[in-house]
Amino acid sequence: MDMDRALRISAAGMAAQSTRLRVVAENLANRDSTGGAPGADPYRRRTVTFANQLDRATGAQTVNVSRIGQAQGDFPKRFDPSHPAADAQGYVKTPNVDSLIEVMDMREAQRSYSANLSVLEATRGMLTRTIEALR
Amino acid sequence: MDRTSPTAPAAARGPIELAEARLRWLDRRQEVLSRNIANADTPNYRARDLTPFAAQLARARGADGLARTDPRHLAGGGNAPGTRPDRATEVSPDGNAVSLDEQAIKVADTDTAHALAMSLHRRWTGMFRTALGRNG
Repeated sequence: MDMDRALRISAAGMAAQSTRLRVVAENLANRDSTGGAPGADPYRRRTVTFANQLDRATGAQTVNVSRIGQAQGDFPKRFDPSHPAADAQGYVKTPNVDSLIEVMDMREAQRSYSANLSVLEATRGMLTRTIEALR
Repeated sequence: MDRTSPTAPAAARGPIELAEARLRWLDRRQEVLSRNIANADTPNYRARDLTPFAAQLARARGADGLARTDPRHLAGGGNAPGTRPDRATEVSPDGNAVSLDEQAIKVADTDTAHALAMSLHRRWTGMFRTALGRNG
């Protein structure tokens, strides 16, 4: 039945968006994770890529997280000679996490999650109405 | 699109068949719309929609396409239930062309149409129940 598939697709969409939220949380939590050794690389921001995927069990085209990659880009440097990760010039590499970008990503994930949730509720309403026709 | 489903209304005759065909179409549409919304952040994804119900109905009634005058004739691709790409209103830099608000309107639309078709079906079967003297 198509409505089962619709429910499943919405659930997959919500799962994908929660993975994205998890990665945002990881990025924000590691905003200050620098390296331990002199000149070592700090935490690198992670990114999520979605892909359309065929669920072979139901034949539905769902969505899933195809890849959790690492963001390119240079690490900003901060002058802090006493830091254990400071290089010869006294600079420490800090993670390439921009909190503004993360917050924007979080908002978008939230918006998409609630969109999926509303579809789920609409589909459930349709199912309930269909079941009520049996009475 | 990819599979032949019973969406194509098989020359709906009475109100009940018509309501059933409409419900099948709405079921299928809800699936397509939920796929669009689930993929609202997938790169290079284009939103899809079903061909309008009226067009599918007209095609099933043989308003266009070839008439089959012999059972051995092959059914043309005419009454295959089709999805077609939505017209893209906005395309984001990653190539995604799903407009969430547009899809939300369509979901609400499908929901209302489903309620209408369902109550039509109920009313009609209610008339049979009345005729049988088992109302209530």
